[in-house]
Amino acid sequence: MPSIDCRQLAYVRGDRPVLENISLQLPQGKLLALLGHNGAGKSTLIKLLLGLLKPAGGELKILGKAAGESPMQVGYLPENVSFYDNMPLGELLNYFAGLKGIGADRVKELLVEFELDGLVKRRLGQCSKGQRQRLGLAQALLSRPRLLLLDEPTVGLDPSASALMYAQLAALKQRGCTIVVCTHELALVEPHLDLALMLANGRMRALGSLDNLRQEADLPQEILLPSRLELSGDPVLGPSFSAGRLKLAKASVPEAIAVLTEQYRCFDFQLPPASLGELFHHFMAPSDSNRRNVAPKRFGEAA
Amino acid sequence: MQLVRENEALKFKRSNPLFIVAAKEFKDCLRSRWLQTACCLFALLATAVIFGAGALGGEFRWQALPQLFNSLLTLSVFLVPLLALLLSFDAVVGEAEAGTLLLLLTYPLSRSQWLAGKLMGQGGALLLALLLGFGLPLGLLPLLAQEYRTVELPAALALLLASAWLLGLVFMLLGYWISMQVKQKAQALALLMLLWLLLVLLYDLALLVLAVVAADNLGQESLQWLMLLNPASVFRLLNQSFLGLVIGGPTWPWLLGILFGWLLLLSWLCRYSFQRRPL
Repeated sequence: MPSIDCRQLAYVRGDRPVLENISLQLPQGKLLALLGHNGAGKSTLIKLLLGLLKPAGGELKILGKAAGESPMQVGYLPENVSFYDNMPLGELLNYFAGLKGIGADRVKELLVEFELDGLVKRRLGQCSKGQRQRLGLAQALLSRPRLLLLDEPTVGLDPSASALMYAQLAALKQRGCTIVVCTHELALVEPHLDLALMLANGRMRALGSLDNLRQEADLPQEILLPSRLELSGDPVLGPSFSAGRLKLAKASVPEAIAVLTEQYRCFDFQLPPASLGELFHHFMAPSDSNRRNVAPKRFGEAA
Repeated sequence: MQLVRENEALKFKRSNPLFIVAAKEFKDCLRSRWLQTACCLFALLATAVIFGAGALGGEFRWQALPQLFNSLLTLSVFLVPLLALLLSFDAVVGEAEAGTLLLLLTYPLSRSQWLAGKLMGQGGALLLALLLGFGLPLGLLPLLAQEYRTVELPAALALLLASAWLLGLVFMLLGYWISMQVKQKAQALALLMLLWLLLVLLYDLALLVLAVVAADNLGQESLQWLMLLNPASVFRLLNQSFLGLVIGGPTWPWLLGILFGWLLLLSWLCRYSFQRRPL
């Protein structure tokens, strides 16, 4: 049974369709990155998954039940949650635990796990953004949820706090928790995601694992060259060379490698796969210019 | 999977979420400077009314009970709605701005329970402020003066406190309702201050002008009915009626009923609006 099973999901606000034709099956223990520009419908989709909004059409099952029917199995961290400035940190976690009927032992366990046990009496107004986000995640994990929905969990965090947040998510995934992360920080989520869903204007632009998306996008391949190699004068590779790298259509890569190894005796080049950022730009580009911008270049064509 | 087993192993002992929300709101209010200031202000002004008004003639003399309570009524009709609005203006919009409203709605807690819990907690804090600010100085009166050792004092005091609390709850619900309609806390505060000005200061003044200008056309009875449309005026009339300062018109139990009616009507309105509030 998939943790999230939605078929042709739609949501309408007034007369305006906000989400159209969203279909997705997310197996348990996987991390889905929900990507898109502001206003693409990501937060609306999360609200639908939480059962806070009613779909205008389609089917939606969360952990085999209707959305909103398993509040103890679903954890949620909203975007930019600041909680209550005057409340001590420990009291806040106890408040949320009380609402879910969870005992003090679990609260203590989470305070220790998220290194917040020394801040129990500190008022939230005096806590840093990172401490608040850790508290937010601890709150979401109170009932040991099987599904975790996180809306921009690392926004405003410094790089080490963001890395720590993703390390915690990776550990949760390892224990079987299904995670949906709505984010703009592509480089951070890339090493952890199993699936990416890209939304634009409420419609699905792409859905799949990184490998699937790379295959579908068929972006030009980059070859990173050692700094000693200067190829701008090369009659064959020169037009594709720029700033220490070659950018070529996939089909031309074997031929280029042959030139590099045989003619230049260069073996320490790298072939990095397309990053999530590159895939995002490819799929999110306006559809009419999309293909034109990313059309694979033939060997010898200008990059 | 490991997490499924852990989740199933967790023991859930849920208390009524309404009381958990109420307890949190009550504690929040106790931490609020508004409540602490109001408590001190109530006590200070009540003491000033008790002793200050008695010294107005140049020689100190304890005031008669109805006159003393009438002065306190004027004081409470200004301050109680103001405190209620200051406690409640950000009840919904503040939680929405902080992101906690959305989060709480994903918890096993209905919107009505959350709203009722808020009213219960903030209403409890208001009652505490009234008891400490008004109840304590007035309750000590019989110890200070022989004139106040009467059976009327506890009854008048109980009615003053109970009706002031009801009035506060009515304004608190008005605060919630406005807080549901706006997108920013500042908007809610501005609108509620305007409402306070209208209902507490300008409404009676407008009726007074109307009574002078158009008393012949409107008649005494119409003016009385117009007074009943404003909960602040109902509160004043109710206590004045009990103290025998008003002759004719509805009796104090009727007026108490009208104040209850306002409470029920606004509770229903808030619940209705909150159920339909877009997220």
